[in-house]
Amino acid sequence: MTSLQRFIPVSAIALAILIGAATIASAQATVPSVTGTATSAGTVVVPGATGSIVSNVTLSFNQAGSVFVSSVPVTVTAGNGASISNLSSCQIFNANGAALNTGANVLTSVQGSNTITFDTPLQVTGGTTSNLTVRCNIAVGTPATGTFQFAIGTPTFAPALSVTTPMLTVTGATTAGAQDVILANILLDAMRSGADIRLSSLPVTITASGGGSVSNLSDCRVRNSLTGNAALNSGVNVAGSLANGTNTITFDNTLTVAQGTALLLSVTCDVSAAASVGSTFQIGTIPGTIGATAANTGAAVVPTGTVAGTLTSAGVPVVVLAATTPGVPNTGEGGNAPLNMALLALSALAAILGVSFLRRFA
Amino acid sequence: MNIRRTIGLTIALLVLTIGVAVFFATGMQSLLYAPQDPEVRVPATSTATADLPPGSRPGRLMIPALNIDAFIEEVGVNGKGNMATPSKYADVAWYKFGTIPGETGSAVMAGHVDNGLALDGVFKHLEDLHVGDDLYVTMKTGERLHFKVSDIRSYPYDKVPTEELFNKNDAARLNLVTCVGSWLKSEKTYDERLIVYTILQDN
Repeated sequence: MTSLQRFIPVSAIALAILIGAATIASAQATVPSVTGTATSAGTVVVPGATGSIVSNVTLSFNQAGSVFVSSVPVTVTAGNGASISNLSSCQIFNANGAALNTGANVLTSVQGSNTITFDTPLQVTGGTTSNLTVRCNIAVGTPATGTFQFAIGTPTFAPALSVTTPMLTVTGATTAGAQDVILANILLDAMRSGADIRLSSLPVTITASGGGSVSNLSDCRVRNSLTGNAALNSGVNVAGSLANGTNTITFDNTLTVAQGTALLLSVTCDVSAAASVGSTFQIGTIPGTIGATAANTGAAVVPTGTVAGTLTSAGVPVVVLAATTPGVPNTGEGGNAPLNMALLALSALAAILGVSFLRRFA
Repeated sequence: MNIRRTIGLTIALLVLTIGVAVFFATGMQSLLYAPQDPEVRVPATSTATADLPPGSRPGRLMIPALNIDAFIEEVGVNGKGNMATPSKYADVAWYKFGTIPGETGSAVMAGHVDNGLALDGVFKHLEDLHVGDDLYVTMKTGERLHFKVSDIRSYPYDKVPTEELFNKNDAARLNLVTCVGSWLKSEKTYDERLIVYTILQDN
């Protein structure tokens, strides 16, 4: 069983999935980040104006896929006789003109350094640019020649968890009676999370086919690669019997996935000696059904998969083989020749009889 | 009278249809397409060959001494846990979850000794090979691998040393398998297996 003894950057895991587990440790990662750029709106300051565009902002994500941003730090400087305090009620609007921070999140009093928190996390997609505008009220006494400069710091990611089922170490084949067979790997990816993520259980979907039954599986455990594949569930948390479909495995202790890291879990079960050859077992999870919370706030986090919330990460099917080495093939049919020749003769006779009957009755 | 004629015609057509259908089905299965035990579905990701480009797989087997030039099918394991067999009597089957020909280890290919009418299968005369005879495997890349027969043995069908057949890793080997001996009616198989062991040559 391969163990991953430390946190793994997600891109390293993706690479390892492609080229094999042995290279995980040496793969280099690109830290996911969102870059914000503020530029002058180019508009003349109008004293007393409300909702005046004071800056344009773009956000861009440096990786494929998308990330959710919960807040952005904004630094403001004023010049030509204007003062920062001349600005108030600042809001960020998206390209469609919708305000992203309202109510308590409106920046009512502007300081040199501010943080604007979005009402709901803003999705930023790699390869595209999110174009935003900053609008503020401008005090009546502001000099018409005054200027305001905005700068965007590093945006903060929202708490998030992505779940996939990589095929690492799932061999795809086992034998009846085998113990602790890895039936699935489940990667909990908080690389793009702004907070640690906590889980207390894992719902796994189990299907059996090819003559196998879910009852052929027992002692199913979720194992943590960070702790030498120690089981996260034991004692009463090991199900005595499993159901076809979703089974929730409750952990003995809350599991925390630190933000900026990915954690590889494996699901192992014992395969009954009574499992017939050809039995196939498949374990996965539905990301959207995993109960996760942000460690800093306790707020619920809905994990996503490749298709957010709806993906059934089915995992790799594992089939029971009779033995590691197959038996010899049966490559002769000659002994059936008498039977086949008899069949040929009888069927030919039937055809001839059919033809003669046709002639008689036609 | 008309009713009798209609019934007679219907029966005649039925008998004719059944006779023709059974004749052709039996003929096809006896002469061309071998009966198959369903293969166990082993996920491709579990195998060493799963990610191989198509060119890395064997395409044809040539044995000049026996005038064999056969297409190579890729097979896995059937429900009995045995290596599956080629679907055609004229083809050979390569065990795709094992060693790739030319790689260190034991690649295994099987062929039928005869068909359902006891006519020759592709490996009917395999036992006529001698130590030192040449075999060639043409990979789908066009690369041609040269093997020489190093040993020929037959074993009772239930006592074949499968570890040696499939897993011996001291050289780049290609082992050919077929049936020989007497037909066991109750088991529906011949009572012996002939194994031709060959080793990759440098040229």
